[in-house]
Amino acid sequence: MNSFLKNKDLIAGLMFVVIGVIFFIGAANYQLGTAARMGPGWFPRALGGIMTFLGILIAGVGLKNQAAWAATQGIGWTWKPVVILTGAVLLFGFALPTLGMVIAIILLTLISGFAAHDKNYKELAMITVIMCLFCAAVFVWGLKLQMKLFPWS
Amino acid sequence: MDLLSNLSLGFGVALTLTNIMYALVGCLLGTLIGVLPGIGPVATIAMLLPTTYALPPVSALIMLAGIYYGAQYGGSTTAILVNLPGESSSVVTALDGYQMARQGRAGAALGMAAIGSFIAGSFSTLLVAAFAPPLSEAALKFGPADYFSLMVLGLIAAVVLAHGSVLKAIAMIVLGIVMGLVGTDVNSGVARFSFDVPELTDGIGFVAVAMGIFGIGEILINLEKGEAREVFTAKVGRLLPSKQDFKDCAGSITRGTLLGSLLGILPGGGALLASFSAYSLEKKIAGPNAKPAFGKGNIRGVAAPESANNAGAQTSFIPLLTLGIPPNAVMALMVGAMTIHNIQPGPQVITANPQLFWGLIASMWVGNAMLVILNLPLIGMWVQLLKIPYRLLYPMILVFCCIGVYTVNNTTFDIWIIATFGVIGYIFAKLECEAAPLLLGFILGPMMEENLRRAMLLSRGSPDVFWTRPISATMLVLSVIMLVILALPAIRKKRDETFVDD
Repeated sequence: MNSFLKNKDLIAGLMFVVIGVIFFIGAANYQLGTAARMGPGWFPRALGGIMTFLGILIAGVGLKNQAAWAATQGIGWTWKPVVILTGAVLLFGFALPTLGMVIAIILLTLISGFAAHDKNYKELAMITVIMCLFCAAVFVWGLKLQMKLFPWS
Repeated sequence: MDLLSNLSLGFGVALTLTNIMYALVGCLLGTLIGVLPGIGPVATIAMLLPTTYALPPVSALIMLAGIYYGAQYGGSTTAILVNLPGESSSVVTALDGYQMARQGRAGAALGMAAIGSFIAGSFSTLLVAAFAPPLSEAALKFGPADYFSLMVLGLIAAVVLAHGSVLKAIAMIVLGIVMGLVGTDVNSGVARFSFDVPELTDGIGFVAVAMGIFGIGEILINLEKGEAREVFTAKVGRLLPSKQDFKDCAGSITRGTLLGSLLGILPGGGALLASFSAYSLEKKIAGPNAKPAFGKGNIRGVAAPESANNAGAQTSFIPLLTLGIPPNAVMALMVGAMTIHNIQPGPQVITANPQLFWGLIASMWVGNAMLVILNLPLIGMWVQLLKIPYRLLYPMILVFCCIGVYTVNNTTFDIWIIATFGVIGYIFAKLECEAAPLLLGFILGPMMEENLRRAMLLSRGSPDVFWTRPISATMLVLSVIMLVILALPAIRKKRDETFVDD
């Protein structure tokens, strides 16, 4: 079982099948129309079908080469940086309109900095300060974009 | 002569003080991100799009174009000095360039890369100027069926020329097209696949998708690899290549320029493909007895791909400016930049906005000249920049991505989108599915549907229109030929070899 998880083609193919089926079925919610007067559902439905078909082919190729895939090292997902960075970006999104740009940037740089192998806290603090000053100068004072700097401004 | 009067109009626009300034800013920024590995022109242009709102359209396009070809120059510096491609299109430059640097000839390699790029840039600028007007006239004869077939050809070409699995690339294109369909259908006003999320009825923002995949997704992949960067600290040496070098490279530069120009025009082409092909062509022409051998510091292995990638970067503007069809992700962003300023890209640009059209073309030459004059003396500074470790670089890129995408529409929804697409980009990269075809499909998808529906409406539902119209039929025949060629085992093998070189 585990060796199937090493098979990049199989996983990618199944993924395309799932997405293809979602679009194929989802398109039924919209009018298909006729060939001369295509409704909003026609094109997505056709593409959903094509994608499902391609997904099956890709997964099939993967299964055919399963022996070779099983001998590989595996895909090697590293979720830690993915989780840290995504979390930092989401937090930035919440903080920017409410707490202002300065706090949002501090959160983003400090948290995302933890994803590096070779963390260096002094440097990270320095970069945070530089980014706050730079972004305030360029985006808020220079380009006059609509963003508040602090929670109270 | 028409060409001359048009070019003089263009230089009149490009040589105003403001536009020279923006060309300079674009070139410097392009070189900067070209030098830094881990950030490319797609993410940079996406980040800068919002800042161009306030600029006049010509200046905005001049700056963004400068970033693209500036990145081609910058990428070679990193490739030669650090043995890392600063830009994906300079992967092959590192092969011989770094060897030359180790032999103490870094200066000659850098100089030749810059000179080759300049010659290629000048030639391809002329090419754009000469071929764009007749092409855009021809494009006016295109009906919806022809456009649809042309886009099919473009997408298929993108697959053939991409590396990796063909099936996966096609699937990625299809996925890109359906994602492009999310949002309100222009014909019926129905909101498709929006799941009752009000922001999704406007569709998924292209900038956010590009930044998510190419900005955040890239960072995730890079973080996983860890860092092994060895900056070449020995003396760079004389920048001017010797007479013998020039003699050796004259042919390489010519071949690189011609091949690059041709491949740039093809949809799905552009700088990346141009440099790979030029390198393998050069290697083949030199034969196994080349001295020094390819991969061991042959200067021709630097001159050819560097000329080709710059030529390709330039000529990829041709399909955009004449047909309104972006051949690669960077050009797709240029479409975005043009629409921000209410310019509909397509054959009418040349007649409706001659100043913009010719100004942009003339600025390419101005920019190339600036890059040669400015960059060679600045190489020391770029090398210093390379010493910034990635652990500091990526938080900065993240900040620029997040703020940049927020300012496009002033909505946090786009920040959720980049977070999502960062993860999606990571997953695709791990599964060896290339993201570039997805982006191309994303931008062409709505155009394809629109033209398909219009063509079928005009033909009263008969699909015959696609093979009875000569232009459309030609495009479809070419697409089929491409697919057939690809299926031939001999060609397949060769294609795989070409991309194994890195």
